[in-house]
Amino acid sequence: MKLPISIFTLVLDAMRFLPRQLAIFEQLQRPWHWCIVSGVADSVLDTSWVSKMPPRLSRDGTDEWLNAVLDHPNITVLRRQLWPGKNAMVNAALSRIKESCVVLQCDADEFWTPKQLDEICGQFENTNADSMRFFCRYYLGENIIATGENCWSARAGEWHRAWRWNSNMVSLSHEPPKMQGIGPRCMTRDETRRRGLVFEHEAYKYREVVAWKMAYYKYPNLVSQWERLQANQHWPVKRLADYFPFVGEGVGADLLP
Amino acid sequence: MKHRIFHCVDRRDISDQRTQDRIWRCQQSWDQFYESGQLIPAHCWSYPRNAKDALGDPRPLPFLKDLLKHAMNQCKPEDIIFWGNDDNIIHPDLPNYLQYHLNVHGPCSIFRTEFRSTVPSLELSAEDFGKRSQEKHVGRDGFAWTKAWLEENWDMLPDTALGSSMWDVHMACIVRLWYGIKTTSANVWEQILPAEAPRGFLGHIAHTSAWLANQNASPANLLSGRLFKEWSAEFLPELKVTPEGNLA
Repeated sequence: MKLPISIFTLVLDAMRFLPRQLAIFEQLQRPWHWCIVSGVADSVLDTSWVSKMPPRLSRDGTDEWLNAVLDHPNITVLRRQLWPGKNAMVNAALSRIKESCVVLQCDADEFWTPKQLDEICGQFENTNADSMRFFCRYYLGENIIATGENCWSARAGEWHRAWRWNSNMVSLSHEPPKMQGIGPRCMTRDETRRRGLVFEHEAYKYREVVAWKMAYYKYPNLVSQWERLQANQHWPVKRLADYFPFVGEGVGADLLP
Repeated sequence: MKHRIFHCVDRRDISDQRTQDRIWRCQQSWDQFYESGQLIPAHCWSYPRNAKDALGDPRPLPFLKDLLKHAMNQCKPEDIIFWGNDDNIIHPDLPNYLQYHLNVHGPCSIFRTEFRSTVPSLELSAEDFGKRSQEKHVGRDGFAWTKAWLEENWDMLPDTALGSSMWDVHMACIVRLWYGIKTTSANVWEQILPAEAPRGFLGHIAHTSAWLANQNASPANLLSGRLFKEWSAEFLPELKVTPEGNLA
């Protein structure tokens, strides 16, 4: 019996990503479930630093798309115009899980292949891992990625994304993800990378997403900084902070190989 | 039969903080239904037409039929479309009531239950919630139809802008007439089953209406009035409607 995978995604204005995610999940050869939690998260607790947004649902067609998949047997949609923080959104998703499975936090802009998702589940089936951290390929444009390790985009604690579910599992924080009730054995980023488990993170790939982040995460001038990076002619960029001052030292950028 | 209920409502950016706070105070009552799935949001942010561009009205009001189309495009024929204002307080019993009403009867309109400032507890029954209202309001703040009903009666519906005066009364008259009930100047205030749901399901906090200041002069109001007058002349000739489209 294959271990099911239960994926959760918090969304607001995520229409660019969701149909692509569904196309991937529908290729899975094991039981899967996707819980999509939609709406504005109040800026409280671990995400108190982000901009306060007026309560709403998505306005880019996301909710119309969610309405179209409401009857999908593998999808649950949870919506509020205002959630009491992102952590509450995670716990709303966790509360719907009733059977042993692999829990995967998959943000809207994070992409795995079906084979990778199967491998993640396989590792939980064949090892005693309680959770997993991963590296990602962090996009700064259509064909630009961040470089460096233990720096912005690949800090030591990132990216904690997969857990072996148990009935006591409760999310304590979303940024960074901290789960209570989970055992201590975490498969490291190096171990998961050796198994090919590196996901595609389209965090700054598209201009409109960058504009959204500029408002939400309060990064002034982010769009113009991002446009300057797109126009760069000299690769690799050794110091990304010359473009994005908030990233700190140690991180660069390069074109996709 | 359990229907899906789509909550059809127009949304817009609101810059005025007081208005934003007032509206959110009302909309907080919606989230429990969205989370439970009792109501499915069909919020329309992008209007194909608005009264400012289409009619020269000072307000960029959306058109009723555009909002309905937006919701209908997401629905099956048997689904319910519940249209409401963006500042409705929805009583917790409304979704179950609509399930009952549309199963047993058919479409209905829902009166506004007006409150001056203090809104009573939503733990009260809808009937008791309604009784706490300080005034009997003639306005309808909500309608519920199936998509199939809307399709069958589409040509009858007024192609007018929301927020204009009298369109809600016009729509209430259409629903009534579908049941064979003739509206008069006297009974327009009454709740008549099965055309109208009992009062108390939709609360509203009183505020200054944008259209009250110059009620009849705005292009959107003129259009709504004209459409109501034309409709009543054809289908309800005994109803006395002024040249501006108000009830005499």
